Amino acid sequence: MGKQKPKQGAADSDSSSGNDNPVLPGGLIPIEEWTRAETSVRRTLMGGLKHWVDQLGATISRQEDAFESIDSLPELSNEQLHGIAPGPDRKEHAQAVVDAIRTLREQGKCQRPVVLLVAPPFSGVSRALRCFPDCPIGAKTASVHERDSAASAYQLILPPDNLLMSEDAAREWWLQQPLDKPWVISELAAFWRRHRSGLALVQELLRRVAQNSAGEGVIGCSSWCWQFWTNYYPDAQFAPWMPAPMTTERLGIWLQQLACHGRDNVPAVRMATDGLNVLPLEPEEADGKTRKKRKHSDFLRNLAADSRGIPGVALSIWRRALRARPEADSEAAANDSDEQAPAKNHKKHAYCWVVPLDQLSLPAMPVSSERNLGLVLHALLLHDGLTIAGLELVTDMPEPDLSLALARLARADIIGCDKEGQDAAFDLPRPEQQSLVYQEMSPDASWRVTPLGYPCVRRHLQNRGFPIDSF
Amino acid sequence: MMEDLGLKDALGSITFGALWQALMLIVMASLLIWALQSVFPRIAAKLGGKPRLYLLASVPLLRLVIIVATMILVVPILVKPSFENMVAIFGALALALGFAFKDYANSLIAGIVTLYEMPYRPGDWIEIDGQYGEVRAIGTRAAELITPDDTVIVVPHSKLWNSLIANGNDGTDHLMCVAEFHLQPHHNMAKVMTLLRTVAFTHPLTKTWKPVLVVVSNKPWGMVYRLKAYPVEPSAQFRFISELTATGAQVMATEGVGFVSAPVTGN
Repeated sequence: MGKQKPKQGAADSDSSSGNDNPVLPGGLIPIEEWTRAETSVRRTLMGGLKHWVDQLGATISRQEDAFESIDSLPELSNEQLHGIAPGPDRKEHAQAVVDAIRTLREQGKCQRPVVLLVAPPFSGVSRALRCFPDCPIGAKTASVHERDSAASAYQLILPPDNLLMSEDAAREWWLQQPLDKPWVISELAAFWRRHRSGLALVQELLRRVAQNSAGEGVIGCSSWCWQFWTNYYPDAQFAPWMPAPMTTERLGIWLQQLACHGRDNVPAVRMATDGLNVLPLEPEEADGKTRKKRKHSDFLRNLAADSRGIPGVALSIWRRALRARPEADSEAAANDSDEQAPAKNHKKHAYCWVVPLDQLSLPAMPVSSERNLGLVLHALLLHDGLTIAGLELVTDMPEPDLSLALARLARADIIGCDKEGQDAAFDLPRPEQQSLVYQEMSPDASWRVTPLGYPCVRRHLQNRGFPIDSF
Repeated sequence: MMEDLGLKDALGSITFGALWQALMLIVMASLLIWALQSVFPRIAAKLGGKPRLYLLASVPLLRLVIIVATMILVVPILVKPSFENMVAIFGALALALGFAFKDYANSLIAGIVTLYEMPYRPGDWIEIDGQYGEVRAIGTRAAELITPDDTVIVVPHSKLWNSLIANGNDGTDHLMCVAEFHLQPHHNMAKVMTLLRTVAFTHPLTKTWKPVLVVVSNKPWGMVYRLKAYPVEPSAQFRFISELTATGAQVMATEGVGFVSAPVTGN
């Protein structure tokens, strides 16, 4: 297996929009052009085998479920993580999406008045769309400051409290919305419930969008939610767009720009096992040739594959894999040449290590022959998070069974409570929340799948026959 | 008789040591088959979904492989594998089976054909001679069916020759379920069809990527709607049909569409 050398500025050369923006590497692409990040056959087979062994042998206890570092290197503190792997700036991300949509419109690739943005969970799209009211549809050349001072362009449409309504009530509700001005829906999954009386709002909206009578707007939609509605309306053609998946190169660029945020230099990140480079990426010169020949690890390639190209999942795994500088550097690092040994100039450059993904203890699905866990997880992904009352409504499970299932999944770090709108994929928990996250079961709290648990949840649901997304 | 068939010569060279060796091989093979038949279904029960079906389906096939391998190993130990000896042994075997165990042999051969043609596999939901259930195990002579009422039915493989076998999922985890609604006539049929489709789509156990269909037919006593959808797992079929029926009935009651109280046979 050859080592890949991710290069700066080598994101892609496809026809998508905004592919030169490191905040949104690859830009927006038509949904049909999505491809899964590739990985080696060996890794795929080993992953599958490990999953089945986990399923057969796993026993659930808090001690075993929680993440445990199995290497001797210290983990990064929250403060260090804020420095090297912070969440993306939601306003910058939002502006990148606005610019990408404008570019698509200018290029004539997207002529529909309503743009549908479908994205897998933890892509950060709904997080960015919530900031659309702060991002005017201004000229691309305008500075961020100028854009900030300009008037808001999009109006955020929020769902009503009660989503169970008749067709007439839904029509009436949409008539009251400001559809005559540019509008944005950050997450369509919040506008319906999988209940016979809970579809009316989205049915009416999609009817209006299909008839081009919904004005100009942007709809963000989780890929799981979209899967449901494409099956419900198999003949509808909404031509959705989606953020390009994080390939090895795009992921490298994205993580590098996050790590560079507010710094002059790129922090050096190397493999804890063999000292191979992960970051910085190989700089590319104007003639396309690389300046230095450094040995790069295939960590980013594996990370892109394991996270299914989803930025939020990749960032969460990245944070788990980062390790602080050990007391004594490894022999490998000491024996390296000057240019490969960041230890020698660590005072100038911040640096840290990553452990191989194989050595990471990530959440695993609790073993159960019951389908209650699957029902809960599928409902959470379909609606991008639900309260206990919402779960009761869509799963038809009685509250005691539901609480047991939620407690079991929370213990395994598969799901967590959304506190104060915190986005688990991007925002680091505040110190006072560390011991509380995922443990309280308030009836008003919204439950969500955790970004680290998402890959195994998706695999579990696929094996159990549940409808899953295509990404 | 034995001399005519040449069996005496063929079996004359069997020694005590060879017998012991053959016996040990057979015991080992039996243990292996026993372990296979007890361990695999347990593992399958833990996995669920497609892997469960694949694992269950592999049991009879692996058992056949073990039996054939044991025969290949045992026969040369007992008799010299010459053409005459083979003809003698298999001729005698065929004669004995033909006369004494005709039906048993019939089922054995059908059992081998079953493994090849696979009209049913463990994990399949089938109906034979009016008996519906899940194939729990496929033995050498018969298959075991477990009905929804937890009754085990032993079905000889020889049924394969002359019975109609209805297989609901045919080796996959896709099993179409049908909920029937016998409704009084004179209602908005298009609306009822849409409502029933929504009932299926919003059920948490529905595989939404598989077709969800509503078929209506006119009967002398009213309109019969058949709501067809796939549950996430075949084993969920009874709960699925029950809940579709219950929710559908609730929706019909809200819409003011009444059920026919008793079907009347038309002329």
